[in-house]
Amino acid sequence: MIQGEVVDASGRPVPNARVMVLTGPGSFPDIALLTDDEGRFTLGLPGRGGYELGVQADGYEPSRVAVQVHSERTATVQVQLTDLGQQFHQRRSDPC
Amino acid sequence: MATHDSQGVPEVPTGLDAPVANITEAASAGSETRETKPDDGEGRSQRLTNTDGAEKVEGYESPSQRQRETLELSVPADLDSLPDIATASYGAPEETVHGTDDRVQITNTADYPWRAHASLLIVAADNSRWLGTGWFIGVHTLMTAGHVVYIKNSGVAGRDGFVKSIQVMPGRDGTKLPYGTATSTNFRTVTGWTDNGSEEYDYGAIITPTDLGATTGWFGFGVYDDATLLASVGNISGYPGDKPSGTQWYASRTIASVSARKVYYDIDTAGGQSGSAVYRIVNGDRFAFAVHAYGGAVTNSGTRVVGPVYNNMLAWRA
Repeated sequence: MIQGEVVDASGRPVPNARVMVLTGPGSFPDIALLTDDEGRFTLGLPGRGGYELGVQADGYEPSRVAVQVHSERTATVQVQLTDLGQQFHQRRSDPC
Repeated sequence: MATHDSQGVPEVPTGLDAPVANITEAASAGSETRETKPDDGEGRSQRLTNTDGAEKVEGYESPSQRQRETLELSVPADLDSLPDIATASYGAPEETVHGTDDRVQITNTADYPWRAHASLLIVAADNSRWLGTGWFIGVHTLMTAGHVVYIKNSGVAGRDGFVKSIQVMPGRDGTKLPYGTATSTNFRTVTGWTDNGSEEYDYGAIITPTDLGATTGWFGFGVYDDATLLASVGNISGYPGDKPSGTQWYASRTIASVSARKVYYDIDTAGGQSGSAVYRIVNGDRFAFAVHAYGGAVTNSGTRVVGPVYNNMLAWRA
């Protein structure tokens, strides 16, 4: 199981972010979980091993996080999303 | 093949295909055919398809078409040599999007066939929220994955069991809902999923409170032999979570392999597309033969429409 939190660059929670398994051992349900109002999620996974989660929210760059799941422990992650507008602002301030 | 009683009524499946509902309703009779025709619904319909079995979408060239045009096909003499998804390698895993992303966005979602696909917002027993896809098979019935309507083996306290509700949004395109929404609390699945959590029985249905399918139209579905499926192009359209919210995406490719109860394919999908139809196009008509349910290391996979599945679908659409 994975418990996680999705936040923005300022550490504020991102509700309704979409969390899904991108890679993992064996097969996995092709369903997506939404973060709650506090940007949190709890995701059960089909077995032990290494997984890669995809996290996306409108207005943010997509993010990927690798997680190792052991049989009895709950893995925890924090995912920080980069605001698309912030990234655009940063590009514009780069020297030509 | 559907089996029938002496009155010609399809028999109610037993065993692991025994239907399960979260509410009790009177049983109803089904059809005698083993292939059920689609219906375009009301209004605009896109009848045009390519001759290669894929949808005709502006700017999209199916990988199958690209393969025929540019590559010499290399098909294993023994398709059984393809890896079984259940025993997939634990080596370098690949995504549900394999290689180049072949998916194309569908923007005319108010037209048939695209409006027969619905974006689903699912509220589970513990109030967690999920995204999935469903597709109409009749005026008030959508097919989807079993794990969309009934959560199994989540490992999270209070989450397993029938979901509380599903908001059905046919033909959704981002924030546009051309056919509005319908919230359902009436679901179907089978004991092979609820009791055993078996991938081979991972299918279910959503019964809507209104006959929304009469407007959107619905897909046909059928039971086909291995040779027919292996010669078919599989088409999938649904609502992946790795794309902008609520947008519909489509891809197609020839079927990779089949087993008695599952179909395997290298058609790109992502989380949120669970429940999508896997369908073939025959003379412009669309017939589903599997319910997409799983991503995997080498291929993605869906629950195959076999006799008992077909019988349940007939009963659920009545």
